[in-house]
Amino acid sequence: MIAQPLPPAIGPEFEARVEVDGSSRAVVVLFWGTSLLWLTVASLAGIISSIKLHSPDFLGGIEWLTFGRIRAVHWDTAIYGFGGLAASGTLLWLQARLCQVRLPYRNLLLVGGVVFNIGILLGVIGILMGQSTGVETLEFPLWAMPLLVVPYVFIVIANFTMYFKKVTKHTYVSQWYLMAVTVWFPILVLSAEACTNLGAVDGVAQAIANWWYGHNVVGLFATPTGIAAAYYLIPKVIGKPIHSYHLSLLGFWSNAIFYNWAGTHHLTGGPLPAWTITLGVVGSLMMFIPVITIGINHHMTMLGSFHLLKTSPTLRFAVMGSMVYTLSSFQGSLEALRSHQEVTHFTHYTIGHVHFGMYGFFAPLMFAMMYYGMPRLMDQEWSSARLIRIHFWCTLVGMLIYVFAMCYAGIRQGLMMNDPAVPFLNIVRFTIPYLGLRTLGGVILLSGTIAFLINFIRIITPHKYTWATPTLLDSERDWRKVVAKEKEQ
Amino acid sequence: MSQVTNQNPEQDPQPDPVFTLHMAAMREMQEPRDGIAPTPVSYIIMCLLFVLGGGWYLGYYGGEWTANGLSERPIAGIPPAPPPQDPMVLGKEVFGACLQCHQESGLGVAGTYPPLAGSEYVLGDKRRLVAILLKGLNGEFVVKGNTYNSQMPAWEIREDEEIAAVLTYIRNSWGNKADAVSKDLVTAVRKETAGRGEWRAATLAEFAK
Amino acid sequence: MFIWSFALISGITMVWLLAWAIRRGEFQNMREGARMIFDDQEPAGLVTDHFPGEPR
Ligand code: HEC
Repeated sequence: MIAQPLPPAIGPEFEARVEVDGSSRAVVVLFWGTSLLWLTVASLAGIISSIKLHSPDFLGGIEWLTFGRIRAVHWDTAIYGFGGLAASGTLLWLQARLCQVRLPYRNLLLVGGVVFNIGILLGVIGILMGQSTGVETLEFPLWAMPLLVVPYVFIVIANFTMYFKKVTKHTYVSQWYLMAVTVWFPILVLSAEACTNLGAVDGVAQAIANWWYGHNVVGLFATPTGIAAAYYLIPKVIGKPIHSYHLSLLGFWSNAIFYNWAGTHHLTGGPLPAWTITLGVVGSLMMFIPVITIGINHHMTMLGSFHLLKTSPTLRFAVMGSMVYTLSSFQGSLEALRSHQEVTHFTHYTIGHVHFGMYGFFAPLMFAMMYYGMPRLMDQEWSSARLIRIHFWCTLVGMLIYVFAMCYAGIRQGLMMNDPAVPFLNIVRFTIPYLGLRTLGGVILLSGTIAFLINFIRIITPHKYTWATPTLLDSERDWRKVVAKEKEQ
Repeated sequence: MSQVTNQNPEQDPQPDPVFTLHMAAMREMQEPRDGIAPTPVSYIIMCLLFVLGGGWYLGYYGGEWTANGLSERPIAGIPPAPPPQDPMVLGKEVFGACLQCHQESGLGVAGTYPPLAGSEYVLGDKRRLVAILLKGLNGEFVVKGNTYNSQMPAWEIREDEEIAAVLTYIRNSWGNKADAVSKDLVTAVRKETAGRGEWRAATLAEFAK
Repeated sequence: MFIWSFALISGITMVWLLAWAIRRGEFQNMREGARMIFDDQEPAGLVTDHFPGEPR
C-alpha cells in the first residue's frame, strides 16, 4: 500500500505520529469508507422520498418503497450509517493522534465496525419490510439495535483506554468533545429506547423522550464530533493555534450544560405541561452562548488566513462547516421561539434547518477530516484535485439550493396555513416547485458524494500518483529537509 | 513556483531558498498569537444578558409549573368567545373536503357526481339539504333530470357550525343564490335524524314531506 | 424515585469530573494546550494541506 518508502525522519515526534496513524489505518479506513457508502444510500433514499412528494405516483406500486418507509431509511442511514460511522472513525483517529498512543483493540474494533454495518443493513431491511417501530430516529426494529449498541461499546472502551494511556500532558479541546460524545451517546440511546420502544413510560412522556433523543442525537453526538474536528483541523491546517483557548473550554462546558434541555421545543403546541416546552425553548435560546463562543474561536482563528481556502481542500470543507455551524445554530435557536414556531412549525422550514445543520455543518467537517486524514493514513495522495473541487462545489451549491428552497417554501407555507382564507390545496400547489428544487439539490449533493467516493476508492487501492509539484505529503518532507539544513548550519 | 527543485527531492539537497525564507517569515508572523486571547468583557456581558433573557422567558411562559398546566400563560377568568367567522370563508375551507367529487366548479362529474350549481336540492328545502349532508346518500338519485347512482359520504362528524357554513357557501356560489343555513337548524336536524342510516331517494322524500 | 436517583448520580459525577479536571491542571497552562497539536515536523506556521498536484 505504501507508495513511497518514507525518507529517514529526523524527529521522534514525526515517527511517533506516523506510527500512531499506521496503527489506526485499517479501522479508520473501514469506518470512513463504509460511512460514505451509507451516505450514498441515504442520499438515494432521500431523493426517492423527495420525488414522491412532488410526483406521488413515482414508484407508487412498490410497497417496500412507500414514503413512510423510505423516509425512515433515509434519516436512519444518514444519522447512524453516515453520521455514526464517520464520527466514530473521526473519534478513533483524532483520539489516537491527540493522545499519541497506538489504537488499542484493533481487531475488536474491526469486527465491531463490520457488525455495526450489518446492524444498519438489517435495520434498513426491517424498515423496508414494514417493521419500523414508528418512533422517529429510533425506527430500526428492536432486534437490530444490539448490533449497533455493542460495537459502540467497543469504541467507548477504546476511546477511554487511549485517554488513560495518553502520552501528552494536556487534554486538547477536541478531546473534551470526543470523550463527552462517548459518555453521552450510550446514555441517550439506552434511555430513549427504554422510554419509547421498551415502554418504560407511556403517553406524553414517550413523546418527550423521543424528541429529547431526536434533538440530542444531532446535538450531543453529531455536533460535538463536528466541533472537535473543526477545533483540530482549522488550526492544524493553517498552522496557527486556536484564537482563545479559554473560550474554547467555556464553549465546551456551556454546550454541555445547555444542549440537553432543548429537545422539547419540537413539541410546541402539543398536550404537554407548558413548562416542559418552555424549558426546551429556553435551552435552545441559551445555546447562543456556546455557539457564539465557538464561533468567535473558529472564525477569529481563520482571520487572516482566508487566502488558504484557495489551496487547501480540507480547509474549504472545515471552514464551510464551521461557518454553517454558526448560522444554522442561530437559525435553530430562533426557530425554537414560540412566536417563530407559530409560523414555521410543521412546515418544510424545519426540514430545511435539519439539512442546513447536517449537510452544511456536520457532513463537510467529516469530509474535511477524511481529506486531511486519508493521505496520512494511506501515505498516498488524493488522486484528483478536480474530483475534490467537484465534490466541494456540489456540496456547497446543492446544500444552498436545498436549504433555500425548503426554508423559503416553509415560511410561505406557514403564513398561508395561518390564514383561514387560503384553501389547503392552494398551499400544496404552491410548495410543489420548491419540492422539485429540493430534489434538484439532493441530486447535486449525491453527485458530489459520488465524486468523493471515486476519489476515496482510488486512494485506498494501490496506485502511484506522484505529482510534479509539492503536495501535502511532500511538504512534510521538504520541511524536514529545511529543518535539517538549519540544524547543520 | 519551485516545480523543478522539488520534483525529485532526494537528488536535490539544496532546499529552495525562497521556501526557507517563506517558512521563517510565517513563523515570525505567528509570534503574537499564543492561543490565549483574553476573554473580552463584552462577551461576559453578552452571556449575562442571555441568561437574564432566558430566565425571563421561563418565568413568562412557564405556565403554572404543574403537570396539568397546558397553557403557557395563566388564563384570567373565562376566555372570551372567539369572534364568529364569516360563513363564506369558513365554508370555502370546509368545501375542500367536497372538491374531489363535486369539483371546484360545483359542476360535479357527469354520470358519477351530481352538480351542486343550480341543483334543486341545494337551492330547495334547507332541512332536507342538512339531512343529506349529515347522513349521506346512496342508490339511484335524480338531480336536474339526470340519474346518478353512487355514494355520498355522511358528514356527521363535522361541527354544526362547519356544516352550516359549507351549506351557506354552496347555496351562494357558482351563480347560486339563496339564504344562509343557520347553525341552529343543523343542531335541530341532527337531533331529529339521530340514529338513522344513510338516505335513499325514497326515504329522503319521505323525510322531507 | 428512579429518576431522582439517576439525576442525583449523574449530577454528582459531573461535579466530581470537573473537580478532577481542575486538579489535573487541565485549566492551567493554556498556552501549551493550544499548541499541543503542533510538533517538530508540523510546527506552528506550517500550512499542512494543499490540493494534490497543484502549486501552492
Ligand atoms: C365521495 C364523493 C363525494 C364527496 C366527498 C361529497 N359528495 Fe356530495 N354527493 C356525492 C354523490 C355520489 C352524490 C349523489 C348520491 C347518489 O347518487 O345517490 C352526492 C350528492 C350530494 C348532494 C345532493 C345532490 C346535489 O347535487 O345537489 C349534495 C347537496 C351534496 N352531495 C353536497 C356535498 C357536500 C356539501 C360535500 C362536502 C362536505 C359533498 N357533497 C361531498 C359524492 C360526494
